[in-house]
Amino acid sequence: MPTNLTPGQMKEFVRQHFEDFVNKRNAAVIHKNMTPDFYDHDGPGGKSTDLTGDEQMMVGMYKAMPDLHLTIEEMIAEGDKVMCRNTWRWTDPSGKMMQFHGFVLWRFEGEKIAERWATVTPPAEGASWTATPERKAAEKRAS
Amino acid sequence: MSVSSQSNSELIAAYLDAVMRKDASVVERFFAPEVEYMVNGTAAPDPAEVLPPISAECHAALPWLGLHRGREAVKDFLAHMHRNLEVTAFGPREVISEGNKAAAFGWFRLHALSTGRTADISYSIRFELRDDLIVKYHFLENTFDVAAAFRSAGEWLLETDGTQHRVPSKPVELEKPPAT
Repeated sequence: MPTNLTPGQMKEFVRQHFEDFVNKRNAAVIHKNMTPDFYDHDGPGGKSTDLTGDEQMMVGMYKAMPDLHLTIEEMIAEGDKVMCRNTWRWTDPSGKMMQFHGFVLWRFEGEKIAERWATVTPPAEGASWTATPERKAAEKRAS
Repeated sequence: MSVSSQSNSELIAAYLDAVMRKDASVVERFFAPEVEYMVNGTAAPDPAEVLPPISAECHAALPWLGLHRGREAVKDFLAHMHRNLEVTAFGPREVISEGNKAAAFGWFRLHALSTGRTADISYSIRFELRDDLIVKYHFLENTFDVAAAFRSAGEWLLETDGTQHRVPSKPVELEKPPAT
């Protein structure tokens, strides 16, 4: 089934999904935003999974990374798909500012997300959570 | 001059087809002379905090990772990579574009020359284009699976969730991603 959402609507849907699912710690929102047969090609451990697998992964991340925060750096949309470039940041138990970066592709059916592909960098120590003027300028150039 | 969204999707599809054919002219044909070519992330600190950081350990294990500027640097990177691995197959892919940006997602089969091990690796690429050439290229892959393909001996000891986890010395059999 094709989507009836515009590229702009799909982007806003994905933006709100990330805000609820990651930043507001509402793992259950996945049941509202995804189709019942949602298929994640790149779930935990690089294995494919479903709604429940992704929900459990996220609950685990809330516990392991209590201050986890996702920033959407950029979105590209065409047809029934949206790609996001994201940065995930958190503080590890020793106080180090950590981050990883990811590219995610979502495919829509109707008004929900039906498929996901994703690749992320390995976690590494990042300099800061606070956007520096240089970083803001670079993001502005990238957007 | 910017090109249409459809043209960019077609251009990226043509680029990926050329890579699959192992076309030796791919760098000259598809990349701008000043291309910024990023493989996963950089171990060098980025003052602007835009480039993804990777750890020194990750870079030591897979030394071809990082930022490569210009066509000659890309050719050097490809030669370095091909001294260590061969890509023997590509899975189905998804390509989208909007304006001067595009993205591709898929998987490839990696053959590590030093160990003879094979693994199927998910990848994604972000592109920026100008005048029908790629000016920015950012490739992401599952570096754990890539490093595992090159592991020659010994176990890995990891600490997550406050607990130590042992990755056994026997090579891990990696599952092939599902066809899409």
